[in-house]
Amino acid sequence: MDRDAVFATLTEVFREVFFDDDIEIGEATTAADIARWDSLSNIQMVLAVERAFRIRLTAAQVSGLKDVGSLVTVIQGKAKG
Amino acid sequence: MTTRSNLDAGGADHKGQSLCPMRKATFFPYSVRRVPLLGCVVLGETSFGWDEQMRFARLSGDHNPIHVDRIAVRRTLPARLVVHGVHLLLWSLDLLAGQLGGGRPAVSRIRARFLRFTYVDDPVRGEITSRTDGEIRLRVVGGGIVRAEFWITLGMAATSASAIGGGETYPPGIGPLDHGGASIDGRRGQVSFTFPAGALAAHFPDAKLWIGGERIDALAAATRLVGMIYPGLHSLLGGLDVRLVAEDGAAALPFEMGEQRHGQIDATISGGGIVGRLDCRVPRPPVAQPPSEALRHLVAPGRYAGARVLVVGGSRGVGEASAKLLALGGAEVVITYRDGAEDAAAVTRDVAEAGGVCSVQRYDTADPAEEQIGPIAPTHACWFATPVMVRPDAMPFDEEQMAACRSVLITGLRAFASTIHSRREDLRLLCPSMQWVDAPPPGLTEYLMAKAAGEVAARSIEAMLPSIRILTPRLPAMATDQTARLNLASEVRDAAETIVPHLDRLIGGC
Repeated sequence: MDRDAVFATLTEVFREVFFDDDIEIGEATTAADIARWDSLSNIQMVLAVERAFRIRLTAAQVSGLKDVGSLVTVIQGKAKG
Repeated sequence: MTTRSNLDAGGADHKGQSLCPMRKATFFPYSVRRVPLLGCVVLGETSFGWDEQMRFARLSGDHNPIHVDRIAVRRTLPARLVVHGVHLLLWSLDLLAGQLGGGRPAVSRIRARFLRFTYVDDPVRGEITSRTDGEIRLRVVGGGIVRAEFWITLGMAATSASAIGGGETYPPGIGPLDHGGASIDGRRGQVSFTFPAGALAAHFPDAKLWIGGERIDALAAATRLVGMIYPGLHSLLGGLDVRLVAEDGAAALPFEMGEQRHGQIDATISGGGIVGRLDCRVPRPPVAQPPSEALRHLVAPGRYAGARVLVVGGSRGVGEASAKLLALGGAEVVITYRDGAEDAAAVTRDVAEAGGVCSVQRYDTADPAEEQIGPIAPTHACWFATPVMVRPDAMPFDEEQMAACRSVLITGLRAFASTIHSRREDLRLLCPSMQWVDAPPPGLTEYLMAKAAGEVAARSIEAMLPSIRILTPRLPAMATDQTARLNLASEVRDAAETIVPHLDRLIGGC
């Protein structure tokens, strides 16, 4: 799955989770860039990502993420197609 | 069920440093945003009192202890009685519907996120944060902190939705079920609406006119599902996302549980005019101290023989473990409690079954010590009286929290020590401090300030009463109900194993 496709799906996930249709994400996006992104909504985001991409993220993978770019890399590694 | 709290280590302090705040913060799991009033339309203000709380519990059927049991809630994450999240939602919808008036647009979707606990008796304010032709956004604010957010999508309800079939029917009166950590993935069934039909909706008349009484009953069934059935006893409703569909005259809400992941499990619901998802958190259950028989290997028989020990705060936590150990070692023990009479009675029964001696005395650190201690003449004492260690909503410093901690850990200690000294001049008193004093994690500032000051208070008491000896070891975090709120499963020690050497020192006279 190429990065653009992942980003496109991930953008929809972020907009749904954070209730904001104007969210735009990039490689370096972090929690500091999105108003409602705290540790509460982070879990929601992780679960939404798992549903959207039909993957499973381990706790270690989640805690090792530094930015959206690293999340995309993990998704690419796990998602098929 | 209701307002959620953050159960994972994380925090606003670490925003910008990590995609996942969980990587950084270890102790204080709550991010807090204080919000200004400017720019928002105030819908209304209230505080949900005891009577209103119990009425909602009765009419919804959600009697989960965190909503209705003042004693049991002390051992849970919120530590105080919590307003049902669905109650907040219906209150907000009712206010909004009243403000919109008769020409209000139809609702097609309701999304809710319960960010912080809303406590019974605490004042809150409902606000409209934005409004467009297609959506109205609301929030509930209390103490300057956003407690819940609601997104009301406007439009016509869908005509139908997929049905969920199979499984058991759960009538009112069942639960709260404790599944003991067993998997509830994939469970399905239906939750009967609480009768009489429409009784709950009658308390939200404008909301009833707006979204329909059956949908209100369905939302009530949803909170009963989470709080009483699945996940049940140890659960929190973190949010919901439901679309409004044609009402079907149903008297029950069908559901299907998803797969538990990252401490969460969602429930798909479809019935009563709503279809969608409930986001449920599954926190760890309260910490239980082991029974006396499980601690026997830690204490040699007769080790504490001849000692008569008054354990303040001996009904739970480290105090409970200490009381059991002292009794196993042959000491005559008196434990005190403030609110948990049943907890204290359970400890005395456990000690008696193990062949020990333990009696109970109520003791409130806020009341005069002399009147409460009465004829008790201990040879030794333990001070495990503890205020609520962490308040999730606490900002960097909270005066009210500081006063509560000071009252127990300093003023109460001084009064107790002075009173007991009048009965036993060479009293030895164990009053542990904490290692965290050296490196205080956020959220525990007030508690640890009081602990540190308690160490100084102990030295001043010893100077004033030279024959008294107060031991103030700095202990590591131990597994108790209070530390469980901090999500430190991998960093807490066993309470009994940790306290034994200090009991030895207390009784042994070192």
